[in-house]
Amino acid sequence: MDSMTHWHERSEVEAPTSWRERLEDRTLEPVRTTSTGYKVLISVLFVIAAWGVYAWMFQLRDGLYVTGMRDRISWGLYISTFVFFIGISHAGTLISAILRVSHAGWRAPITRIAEFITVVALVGGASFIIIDMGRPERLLNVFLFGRWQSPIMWDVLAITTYIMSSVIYLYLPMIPDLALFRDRLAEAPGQLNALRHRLYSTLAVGWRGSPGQHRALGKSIGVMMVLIIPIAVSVHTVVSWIFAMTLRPGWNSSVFGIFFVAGAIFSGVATLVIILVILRKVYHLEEYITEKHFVYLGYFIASFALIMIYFNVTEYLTTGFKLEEGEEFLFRQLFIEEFAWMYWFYLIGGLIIPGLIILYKRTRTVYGIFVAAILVDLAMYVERYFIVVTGLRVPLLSYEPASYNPTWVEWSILASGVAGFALLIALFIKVFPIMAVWEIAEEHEARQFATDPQALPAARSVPPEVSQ
Amino acid sequence: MTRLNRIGIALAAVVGLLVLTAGPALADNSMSVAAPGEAGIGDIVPVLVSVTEDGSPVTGVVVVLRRNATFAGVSGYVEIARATTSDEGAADLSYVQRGAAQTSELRVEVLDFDVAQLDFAVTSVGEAEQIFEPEVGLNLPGLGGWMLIALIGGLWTIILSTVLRLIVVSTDGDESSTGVPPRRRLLPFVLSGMVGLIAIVLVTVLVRNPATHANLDGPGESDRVPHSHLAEITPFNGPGLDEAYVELTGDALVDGARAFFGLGCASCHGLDAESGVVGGDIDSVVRDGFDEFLSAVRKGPEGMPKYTADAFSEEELIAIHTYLATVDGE
Repeated sequence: MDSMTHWHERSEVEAPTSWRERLEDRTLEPVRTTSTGYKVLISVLFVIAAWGVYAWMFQLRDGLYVTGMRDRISWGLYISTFVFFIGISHAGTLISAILRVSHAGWRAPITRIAEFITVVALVGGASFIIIDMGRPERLLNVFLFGRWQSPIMWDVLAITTYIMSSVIYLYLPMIPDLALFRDRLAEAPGQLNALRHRLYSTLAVGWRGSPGQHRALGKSIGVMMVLIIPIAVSVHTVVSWIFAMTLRPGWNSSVFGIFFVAGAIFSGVATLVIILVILRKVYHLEEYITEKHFVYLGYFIASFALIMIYFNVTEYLTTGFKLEEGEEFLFRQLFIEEFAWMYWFYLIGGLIIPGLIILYKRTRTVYGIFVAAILVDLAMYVERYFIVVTGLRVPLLSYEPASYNPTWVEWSILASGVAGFALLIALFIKVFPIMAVWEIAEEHEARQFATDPQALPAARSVPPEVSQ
Repeated sequence: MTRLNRIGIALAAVVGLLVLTAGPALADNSMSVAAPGEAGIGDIVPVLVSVTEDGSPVTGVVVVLRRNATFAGVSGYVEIARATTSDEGAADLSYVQRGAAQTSELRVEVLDFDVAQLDFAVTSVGEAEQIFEPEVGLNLPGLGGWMLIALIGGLWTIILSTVLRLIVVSTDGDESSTGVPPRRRLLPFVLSGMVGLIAIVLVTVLVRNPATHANLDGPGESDRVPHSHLAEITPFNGPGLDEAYVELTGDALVDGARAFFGLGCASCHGLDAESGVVGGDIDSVVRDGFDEFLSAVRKGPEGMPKYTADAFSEEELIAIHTYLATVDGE
């Protein structure tokens, strides 16, 4: 990446500006200071997460009997949560990799957070698979006796590959920033700072910004940003195949792969918006994460809402037109009976209303998009849930359709999973640079060398095309 | 009507009935069938039937060809062809010979005509060519485990290359540095080692790909670790529904069949022990005698679980072996 060399040669091109110092201070601020509110938040999240572990102990002791899952409906909240988390993990890949590949300059301040959502969500998603197992100690058998003929094994391969490459992809572009932290925090006295210095020295792998280092790192980032896109697409395709490889009404679909990938990106971008709004507010990042970012992400959400509506039409119209016996049952429960409120909330509240909020100019504000993103995330969780449960509920033999009600154990573990997700993000911003300083600086310089001296122009003055 | 008349009519009716029923028997009805004794599988076998009455051909009667068949445990003759006799009293029938090294048991009947049905058989000859039972599934060349291994291996090699480049990053820039901490080289090596290890594990899993399902292999795995709490309520007694035949009847055939199906043998080896999706054909092991059979069950060849005496007692295995020997004989 030749553009990285700009940063290396920065000191020769221009003296460290106050802009630059401000950026570094803003990025360092979460690491330097800890507010009371933060401590309270961490405590609350920790208590919720611990409560989930307590509930899980019940499940380990008594087996899956303590959940609402039985013989006929054998997947419930856990698998829905797994699919949801794997879905939001696509935020990082899409925002970071695709925008980096396409040299979209505006991505710079938000890539780091997006990549971190990916890693945390993947860890969360993978742990829900283990939670769903009645005998988690048998997980090792997947590696001892796994057969590639099984779609479960495809999931193991794809998700393992994705977790590892996401961690690497998060870590590689962070190295220059970690070196910055190492240098900036070295000056401060105290035991904590000594510890930090050791940590950042290890993580920064002796980064000095030499041309050789730039070349090597640039190459690695270049390879990973391309590689991670097909890996991410394959992950959610394979997750959908867990369902689609089964002969069941509602699952037996050829569009499931891309339907799930689209849903994953949709919910991933929404989650990114939610976390960005919170971090921007708390850490005063308004200068870097501007309204423009939210508008662009909002356009993403709106266009994916349209794509999701389209998928709903193709999926349900093609099967509904033929209406086989099992499909008829599925349609009845999904559209007019037990699950109707979920489906219509999903379609109207999660696809149409967020789309309208974003497309309508007066509501296309940071908070409008924030509300839309919350709706999208809720709806996408509900969608995962009804896909799992309604599909299993269709009786394929002559028996009464079962019902599924999650028990307190499942609700507790779900709450714990969400809290754990937030907890890991909160801890991350305490340790790692929340913004890619070198990328923002590089982007800033690129703009300075261009005509506009203003760092990042406001949204409405810039055409929505991906510039640079 | 006088009484005499009524007796006369009754007598006439009796005589008429006698004539009607006995009449055809008195007539010299006959049928001859010409068919080959052997036929290749898939051949169209001609069956020529001629029907005569007192030596003259019978025209316009329906001749039916049936074949003995068994389906879902029910045996009987199934109609496979029918024809009407010509002016010469001849009916041309035909059918397709099916089944490898089997005999078609056939029967010809003439409808509404009093002549005895005729049974005969046509034996299949030659190599059994699969004409109606294709192999299960589609085998596309190249699409399989090795392709997946190449894909995963290639992917992880690229990932490893990106991490290995970090070693270059950590060693570069030495000359200019003052007081670069020595710890900085640790992470790239640890990370590369981790990526390499995971890659090897994943590829090894794919290469090993056992013939059987998970958590069955390994010594003593069939005495599974009891679930800490569940085991108190419902102790695990091995696979299958073993409580169904806790009381042995003493009839080895009955007990053997129950054990074979109930303990789960059939779920791998198929209902007739002629290999299923997972387990292989066990005929030869059964034929080699009980000792061989016993040692196979205890050792668990080719990915089959090792079933200890806790899972199957020797008594049960004798019964299963006795039962399988009868299945094998067919």
